[in-house]
Amino acid sequence: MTIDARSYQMQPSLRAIILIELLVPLALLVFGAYHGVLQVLYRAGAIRATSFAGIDYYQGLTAHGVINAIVLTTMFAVALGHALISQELESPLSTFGAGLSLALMLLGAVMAAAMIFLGKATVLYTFYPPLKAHPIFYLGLALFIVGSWIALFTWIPVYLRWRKQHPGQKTPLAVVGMFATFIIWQMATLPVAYEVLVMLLPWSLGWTPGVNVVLSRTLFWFFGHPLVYFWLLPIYVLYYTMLPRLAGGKLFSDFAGRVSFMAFIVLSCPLGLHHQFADPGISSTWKAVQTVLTLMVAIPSMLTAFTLAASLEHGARQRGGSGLFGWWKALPYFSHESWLFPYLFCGLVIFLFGGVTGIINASYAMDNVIHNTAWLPAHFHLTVAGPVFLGILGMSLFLITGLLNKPVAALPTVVAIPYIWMLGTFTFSTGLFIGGLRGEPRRTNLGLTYLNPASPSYRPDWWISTHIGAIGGVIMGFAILLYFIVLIRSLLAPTLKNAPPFRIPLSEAYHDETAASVRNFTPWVTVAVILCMAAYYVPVRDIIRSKYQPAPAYAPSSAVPIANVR
Amino acid sequence: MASSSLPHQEGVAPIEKRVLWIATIFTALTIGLIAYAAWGLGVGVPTCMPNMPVFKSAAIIKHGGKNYEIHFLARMWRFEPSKVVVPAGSTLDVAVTSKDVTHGFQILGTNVNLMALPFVLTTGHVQFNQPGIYHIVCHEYCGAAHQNMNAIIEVSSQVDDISAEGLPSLDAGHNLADAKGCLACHSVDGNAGVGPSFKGLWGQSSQLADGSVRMVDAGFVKAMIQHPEATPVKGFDPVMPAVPMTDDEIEQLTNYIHELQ
Amino acid sequence: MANQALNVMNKNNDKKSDEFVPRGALAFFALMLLCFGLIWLGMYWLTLHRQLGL
Repeated sequence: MTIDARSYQMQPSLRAIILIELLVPLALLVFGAYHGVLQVLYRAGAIRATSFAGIDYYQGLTAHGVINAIVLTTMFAVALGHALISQELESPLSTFGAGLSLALMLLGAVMAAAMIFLGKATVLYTFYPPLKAHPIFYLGLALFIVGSWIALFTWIPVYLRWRKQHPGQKTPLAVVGMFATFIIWQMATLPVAYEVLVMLLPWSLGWTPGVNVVLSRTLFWFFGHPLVYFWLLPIYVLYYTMLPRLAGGKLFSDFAGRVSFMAFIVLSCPLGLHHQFADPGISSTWKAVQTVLTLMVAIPSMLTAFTLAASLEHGARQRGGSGLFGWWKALPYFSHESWLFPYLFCGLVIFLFGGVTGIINASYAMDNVIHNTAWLPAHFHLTVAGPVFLGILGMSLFLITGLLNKPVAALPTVVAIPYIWMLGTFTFSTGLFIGGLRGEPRRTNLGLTYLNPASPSYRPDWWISTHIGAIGGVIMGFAILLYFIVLIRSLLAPTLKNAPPFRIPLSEAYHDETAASVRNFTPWVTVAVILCMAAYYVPVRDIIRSKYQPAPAYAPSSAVPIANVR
Repeated sequence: MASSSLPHQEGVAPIEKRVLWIATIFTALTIGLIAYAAWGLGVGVPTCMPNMPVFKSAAIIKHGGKNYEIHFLARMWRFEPSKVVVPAGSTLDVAVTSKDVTHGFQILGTNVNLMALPFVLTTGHVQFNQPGIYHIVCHEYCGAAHQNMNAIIEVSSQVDDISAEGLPSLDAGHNLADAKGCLACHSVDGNAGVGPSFKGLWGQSSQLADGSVRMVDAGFVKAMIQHPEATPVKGFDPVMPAVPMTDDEIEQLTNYIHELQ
Repeated sequence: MANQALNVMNKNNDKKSDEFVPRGALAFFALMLLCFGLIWLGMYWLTLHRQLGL
């Protein structure tokens, strides 16, 4: 039984802010997805040129990463947070705060995107120095991140007020999850903000002659790993709080959800070195320490997998499913009424493979086999382009149509899209896993050389893997095209009359224990900070003590270093 | 939140405890096997080498008895040396650094997979028992011609000592071409890359993109250095930047290209 | 109405034998880790093979 009658209604300004935060990245995604398809065509040698239709391969690759993996994911997380927190804590949010957050994110995104499209930031979304971008690119990224911080700052007073007014009551799980997401984000972005604002921006302006490459990489990857939990955790919120109800059941264990979110707070950050196994300047001992921590963070995901399976089983059995495995058949895979279900479910199926390959990548010397090969994009298209992307697509459609009182158009297509996407990503990743094991590099315009029969570097043994990848990429592009068609048709459809006030329907819990250990963030955040410092203190201290020679700047187009302005 | 209407049930469900145990054991086994590989079998990852001096140019060092040390210099957009031939059964200690930006260095089919950073040294070790061609690929985006950046280690049972191509030269003209960035795109071994090879270029009839033909002489070389966008050459992407050079430098470079005729 | 609903739900909780135990989820979980383990061991073998020729 749910008590749906609530006095709180979302304020119109927040509705507008959320809608912009959902629609702008989806508009940018048109280009982000277009260049994804182009990349598989370049890589298969179907395009054998430095650029296509005016966009250089690496320029497009930069845009693909920044739009899809930074702008889309962050703005969605902020929008979801605004929606869930205001609903579950039954409180309006500061319009000034939410508006300022949006304004900075938009300004930052526009600045970064403009530089990318002008060809002045062809440095990929990791922007490793000494390749240098235009200062406005770095400034834009910094503003974008600060904008995302402000969202958390608007939620904190609302949360603290709610705790005071509801003593002894559990904070709603969705709120716990969104706070966990943004607490992790806050911790993660501080080092990269330092890297961008203190190290890279002055250097890109010509004020400093060189940059410490080892330190900047280490700061970036301190950020780069919790970044993936920032992507994942909003989707875990959907999995824990919406999926069970869509399946017709209840969340098996509320406590498991809370423990998982708290475990992610502790274990998201002190792991970045597993992206630097192949780097110099960092001792193998500390790489090993962070390997152990990384494998430990697999545990809350495993608990999540079980809890979600149990919740799905609960729903399936309510729907008449039976048997040890037979109950899977009873889930609403193609139900129009629960059309959001396949977006979440297919994401989970894809994530099975993303998860195991992630564990492989993090397994210390095993990384030597696949580091920087095509295996890596194969892995992360099964994570950020799997559960995260599908969750964003589905939930964006849900929120946009709900907040605008529009019907969801073409429901048969809507429920088909996740399956088409899943077929696409599995095909794509199969190709790239095989290619990666054969040594195919990532981030490389293969069509010019390795997949070009006229080139002395031609690699015929990479033909099959790149072509499988290309087929997968085209299928993925097709799925996104269908999504845009559905989205536009929904937006153009006549507004529904007499629609009830919009609420996100959240699940009840089957086991709803009160456990004191997960009732407050403070102890978990404290442990997280201590653990981060413990895991990073020695490596960073050693880097600083090593006094690496600062590296001068290079533009991607020339082997001659850029002369300093001053 | 709706859950407040349900009666609270105490305790973590026993099944969840079982799940946590299984997950922890799985994780512990994984860690154990990794530890065994690393400390028992020596299968590890690069570590920091704080006291090793970082070399500025590539070199081959023989340590006797098929033990070799190769200093690879990664640079936009080639490896020096570009080709190494070693006898089967060799053990190689490789050390890699970068002259400019961050590069990757993977010897395909082996576990040597390294990042090459400027002014920092990364090391790896490999034993080559099986004869064959082993490709080295740069797998970190390093600029416009990243996809051209690769090298070869040939393991042969027909040789009994190491040899290499693409090591640094003592020629002043060569080093000028290097310093100005020409060699990033123009090889001197006859193989076309991003741009045509300098070797054999002098005196050629060069077909331009607009169909006209120009002879590669002093005037053409100077025009390409100063205004490459005016004369794009057929068969090559028009990506050559104008290179700021003094007249003396242009003359020295022209002589060098002439020498390579 | 809320009270009636609560009574209906509470009746169920009295019977321990009615408690939902997700055996199917446990079976899935075990199978998942088994598959993960096999895939991981495959890569482990490959890593050792490429370095030590094992």
